[in-house]
Amino acid sequence: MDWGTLQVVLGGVNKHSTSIGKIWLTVLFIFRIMILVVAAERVWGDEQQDFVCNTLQPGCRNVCYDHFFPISHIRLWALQLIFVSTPALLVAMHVAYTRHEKKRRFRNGEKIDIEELKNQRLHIRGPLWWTYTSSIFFRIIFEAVFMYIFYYMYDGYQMPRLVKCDAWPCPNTVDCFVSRPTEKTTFTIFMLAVSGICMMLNLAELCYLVIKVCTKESGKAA
Amino acid sequence: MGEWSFLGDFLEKVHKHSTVVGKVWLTVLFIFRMLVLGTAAESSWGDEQSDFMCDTQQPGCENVCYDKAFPISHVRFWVLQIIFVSTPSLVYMGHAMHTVRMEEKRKMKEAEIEARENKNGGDTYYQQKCSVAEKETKLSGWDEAGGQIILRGSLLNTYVYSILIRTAMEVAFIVGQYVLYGIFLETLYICQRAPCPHPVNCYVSRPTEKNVFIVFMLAVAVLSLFLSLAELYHLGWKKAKERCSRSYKASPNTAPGRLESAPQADRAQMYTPPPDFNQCLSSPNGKFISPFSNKMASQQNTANFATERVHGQEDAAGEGPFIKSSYVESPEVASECAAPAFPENYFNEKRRLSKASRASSKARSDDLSV
Repeated sequence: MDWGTLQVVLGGVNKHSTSIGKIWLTVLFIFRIMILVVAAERVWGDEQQDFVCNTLQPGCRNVCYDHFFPISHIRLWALQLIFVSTPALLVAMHVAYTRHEKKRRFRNGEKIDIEELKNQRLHIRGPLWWTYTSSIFFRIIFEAVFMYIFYYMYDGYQMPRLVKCDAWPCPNTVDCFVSRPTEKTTFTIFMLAVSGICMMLNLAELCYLVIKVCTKESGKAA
Repeated sequence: MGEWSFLGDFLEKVHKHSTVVGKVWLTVLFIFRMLVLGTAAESSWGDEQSDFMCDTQQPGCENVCYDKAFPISHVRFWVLQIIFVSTPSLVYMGHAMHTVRMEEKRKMKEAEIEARENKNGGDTYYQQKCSVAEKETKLSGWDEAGGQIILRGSLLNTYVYSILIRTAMEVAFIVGQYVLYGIFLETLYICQRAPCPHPVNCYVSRPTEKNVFIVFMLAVAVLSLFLSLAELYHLGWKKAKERCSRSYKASPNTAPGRLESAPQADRAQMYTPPPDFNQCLSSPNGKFISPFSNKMASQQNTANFATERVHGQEDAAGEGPFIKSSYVESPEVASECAAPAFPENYFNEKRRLSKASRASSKARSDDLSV
């Protein structure tokens, strides 16, 4: 999976983020994407090959594996990371639109420094504030939804060592053994903890933005 | 190694703003840990489960025995170790970047004030600029000439804490590895776990090669630990030395609010004259703006200023890194700015030739001053 493209896109958004947003991005790249690519993919690499069932019945192993792992953890995490990063694209689009408008006004004759426009850091005010806040809100929603999906699909966050399967064509209840269950549990809990931290960071950022606007409003009123 | 680029990119920035020992530590991390892990160790552990053979036909027995023998694979353990050991540096980097941003904001404010004052006229310029400068002096941790962060105050504390946490993590992971696996891997592992019907002989794949890498990674971890401790010692010793020399050489002429730049011969890269006077005279964009209307005096001052910067500490003998030049204009304008700050001999006639008059004022960019 090529995460470099995502890094390029989110790197652009990083310039217009708050400090908490930058920390969130760092945590995302180092503790989630990097762990996923460097470690977790190897752990889950042989998950179907080494899924062993105590039966000689052909097809039973395949069916049992499919029954207990409808979607692999790795793919689910990849989806989670993509969904959680996507709201930042809203901010990127808004910034691009603002710049486009400024360029258009420049072409129509207004005096704007075109060089500065490219590198200018937009402050989070007005419509950009709304875009930014809604992107953080969606991020929080997506994180929570995926954490729930994990819990629902796998009955908790622990990987069982032994699963009992009686799906057809298995002739009777068959013992199937999962490969590397302890290591998988360790990484599942690690990724869960980091998701929790990211959610806390997003909540903190949301509070910070709301408080900032409220204090500004009360300052203006006073 | 491309997969490590996410972390690698962040650590490159840390590399730029570290002390010498810190840079050595980072190099050790990059080359002896990340690179070795990514290229050699990964392929050595590649077939760890597929070639883990147990002397049994019982389905599932191999799986459960492998899981019991290796709750977490060595490679993954080292990946987590590298990430956790690098994390404190990232926190320090965040703080440093925050400091830089504060510095940039300060410069922008000064530029704004200056622009405003230039419109309004020069009377209150000196006063306002100096008051802003005095307030912002303590924030200043950024050396413009060298583009380096000067380690002092809260930034130094963050750096020290990051090294302490790094050391603690290193120790925790070394101990953790010993607790989980001991030092060496045995070829034979005897396993008794359901559904294995009886104690079963299981054979680990490539034990000797794995042992070589285990010992290597352990040695590198211990080396990193020593480097961290050396860095702590280096920082602690320098700080203690500074404190001793500061209390010993306390000069009566040293003005209040100028503690940071008090004459200290061992501050290798500190080349600022008294910060408030410095802030008063130089503008954020580097142009020298003199409050005096005498062009010659201000030109003389520029020359003195540039040369004084480099070897300020050489004047620690007693005079302090003060700028002295002949000013034709009345000194009241200057003293109004920082009346309590300047000593009486500040505006004396004789121009003191700096020992550094031929030296380059280009800053050394490889080390941080503490």
